[in-house]
Amino acid sequence: MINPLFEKNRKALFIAVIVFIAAAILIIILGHFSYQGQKKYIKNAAKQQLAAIADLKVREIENWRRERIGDANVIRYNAGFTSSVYQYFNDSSAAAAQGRILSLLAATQESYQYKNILLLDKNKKVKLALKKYDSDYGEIHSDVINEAAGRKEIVLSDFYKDKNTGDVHLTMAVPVIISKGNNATILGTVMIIIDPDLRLYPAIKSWPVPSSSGETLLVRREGNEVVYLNELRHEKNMPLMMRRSLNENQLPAVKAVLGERGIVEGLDYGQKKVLAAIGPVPHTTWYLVAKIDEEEIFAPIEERFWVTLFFIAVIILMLGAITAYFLRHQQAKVYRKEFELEEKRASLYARSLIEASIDPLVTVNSEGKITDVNKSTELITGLPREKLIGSDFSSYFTEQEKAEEVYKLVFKNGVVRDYPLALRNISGQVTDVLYNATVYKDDSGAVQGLFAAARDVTELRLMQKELKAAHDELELRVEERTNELKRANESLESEIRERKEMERLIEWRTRLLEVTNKELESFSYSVSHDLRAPLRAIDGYSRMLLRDQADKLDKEAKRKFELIRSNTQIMGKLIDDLLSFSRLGRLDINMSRLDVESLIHDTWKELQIINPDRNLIFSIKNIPESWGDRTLIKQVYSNLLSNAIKYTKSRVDAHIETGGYSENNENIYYVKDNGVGFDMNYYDKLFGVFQRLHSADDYEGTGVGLAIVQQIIHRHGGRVWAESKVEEGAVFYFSLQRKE
Amino acid sequence: MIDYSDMVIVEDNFHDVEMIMDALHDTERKISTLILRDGAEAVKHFFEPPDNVLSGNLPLPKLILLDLKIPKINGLEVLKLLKSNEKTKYIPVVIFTSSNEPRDRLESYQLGANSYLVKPLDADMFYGYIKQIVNYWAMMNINVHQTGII
Repeated sequence: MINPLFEKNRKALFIAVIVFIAAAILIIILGHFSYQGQKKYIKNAAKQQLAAIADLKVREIENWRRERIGDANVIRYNAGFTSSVYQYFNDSSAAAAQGRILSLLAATQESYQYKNILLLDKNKKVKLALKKYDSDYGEIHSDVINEAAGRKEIVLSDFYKDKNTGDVHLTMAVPVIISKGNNATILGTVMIIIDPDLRLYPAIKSWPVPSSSGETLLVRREGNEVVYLNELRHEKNMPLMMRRSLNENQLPAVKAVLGERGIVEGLDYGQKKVLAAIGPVPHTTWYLVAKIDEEEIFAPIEERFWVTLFFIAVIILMLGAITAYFLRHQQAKVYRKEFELEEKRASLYARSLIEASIDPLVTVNSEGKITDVNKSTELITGLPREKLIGSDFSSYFTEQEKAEEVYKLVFKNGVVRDYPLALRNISGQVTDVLYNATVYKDDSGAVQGLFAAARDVTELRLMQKELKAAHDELELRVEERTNELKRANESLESEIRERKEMERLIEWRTRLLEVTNKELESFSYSVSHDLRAPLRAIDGYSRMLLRDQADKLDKEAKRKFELIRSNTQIMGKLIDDLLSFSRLGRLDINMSRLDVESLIHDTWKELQIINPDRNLIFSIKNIPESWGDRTLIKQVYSNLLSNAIKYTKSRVDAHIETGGYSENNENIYYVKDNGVGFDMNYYDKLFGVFQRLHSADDYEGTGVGLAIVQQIIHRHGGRVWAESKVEEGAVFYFSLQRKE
Repeated sequence: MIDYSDMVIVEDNFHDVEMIMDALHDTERKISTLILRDGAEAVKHFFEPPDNVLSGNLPLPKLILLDLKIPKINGLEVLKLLKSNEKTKYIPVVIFTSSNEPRDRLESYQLGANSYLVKPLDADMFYGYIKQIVNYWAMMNINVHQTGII
């Protein structure tokens, strides 16, 4: 049974744990949302910053471009320069014109530290070069030159790689045009070669705020690839070298060239998660990507995450502590209650034990006064509890001095066992008792008094007397019985002697039987040989005589010779039957489970073959299974059924029925026919060897069949019997023991 | 001594011998026979010098008709000797006995008998048996050592 107090305690614990878990979950959820809010806020700030930087960069690149065009315009719209070129192209020896051209070009070059400036004629042949004379320059950049000439405008080429140095350059084609009225003729082209390393790349590269991963990329699309145009922050010397497939759509650069705008999230070429601002650079084929690693953006929030986690943990721990304290308090209350209850119960239990005792119990103080009694004491003394308490302990005994001695002895030794005293009832009746007493002590071990129990021994005394008488009588009987046993033992010994004698006799008989069996075997062996030989000779010679002397013998003589011959056959059959009968007694029996019905079917089929001319009506009814030797039981059925066939030969319709049933511990089987039957007066001869109840002339046979049946059934531990009336058929029964 | 015999008959019973000979006569076939009256005679004929089958002095018969219950050395022992000798073991041996004991049948076949017949009590059957034995074993059956065609 569950203590209700503990049940309450458990319930409190359960509620406390639930409250604690709920509070903890709430705190964790709040913490989570707060963290997510922070994260979102920081991300938004980063996005705004990125957008501003991208915007700035685009504007910077645009400014840079406008400046370069401005530089070129100085040449483009310089009429003096155009005429100098005209002069120089017409006469390459015009030194003054050449000087003027070179001075303007040099001034331009110096203003921005251009890599080189070349002057090409309209056949794109390099005429003059400020720095390096690249004769095939016009051919390489014919696209740009053609475009500039066609549009009559300054054209800024894309980034390209110098075929000799491998450096990345841009070039500006400035058409030199001479105008006459509305007619404008292209004289040639000034090619200004720009090294982006000088100002463009640094401008792109510079990040306006301190950052470890902030980076700006300039990219353009080439077929199915995106090409990185500037030097990368995290992979050096890679301008125009790095290409990525457009399939890598996680790259912000890919997103940019595919037309996306604004802020995107993706993985950069270093496989890091980045936040990027992307967009096209106006008037160019370029796209700008300003990106920063998310890791950097969220670095500050990381710290905040741990702080939040710490606070959550502290709050949960505090909550746990409060819950635990509350629980302890609750438990303490419950245990206190439980303890008080238990104490009360214990004292009640002790009291009821004392009261339940059949023996009178008392406690006595050191002065010999009674301090407490139980109900039994009240009964035996005949005084109420109030009178007993405070009175002298010894005053209730017949021998007062002796009683005083007892309690003194107890105080002295601490214990007294089975001290005989006599209690006196108020009515004067005296009760024999045995006293058992011990001292009892308080916590400190100081003796408080004695605790005494009296056992009423009146009954015991009486029983002891009776027991003594019974014991004496028993001894007498034991002696008588011992004498009887002696006599029985003597007769038993003589019986054992007799039995041993008997066993010896049986053993001797068994040996004798074995010898006899062997002799019998060799006897039947010689019978089969030696009795047949003369018969064979008789038949053989009769046959020879019948054959050789046929003309000398008359009819009667021939008939008698035939009789001799048929009698030798009968004799042979008799020998065979006798042999098989005698062999039966020595055969080993192989017991097995028998399907008797199929066994009967088999036997009947064989018999039908032998008797093809007979009209036989055969029926099998309810044949129980059995236990026996298959060959031998089949022999039984063969003999019984062929008898039935034989003795019904005079009937037109021969009815043969076989069946069986269980009775007690055996199965009983029968074979019934409507044949000639037999006279029950000769029943005792029915199963005898060579015994016949019908003449051999009417019914052939040697009279061994039923003897064999009986022999087989007896060897199976069964019985054989038959019932019949003359001319009213016969029933043959046999029984087999059932085996479970 | 007969220098050639188709059939060796080992049989002690005079009446049986007479019936066998009578039956052989009935068959009207020219069968030469040698009759040995006990086991010792049989062993002597086959194995003991100077004149024996083993040395090649006497020819191998086409058939031995052997009774089991014969004096001195019994039929089974004779059979055992015949079937354990390299030269004689291929001669067909037909056991012709009055015993129908399962033990005798088993032992005969174990020792290598080629056939086992029980002497019938009925004389007609007896004559029939002999005719069939001669027809089968002496006329139809071809032996290991046979050289020519009869």
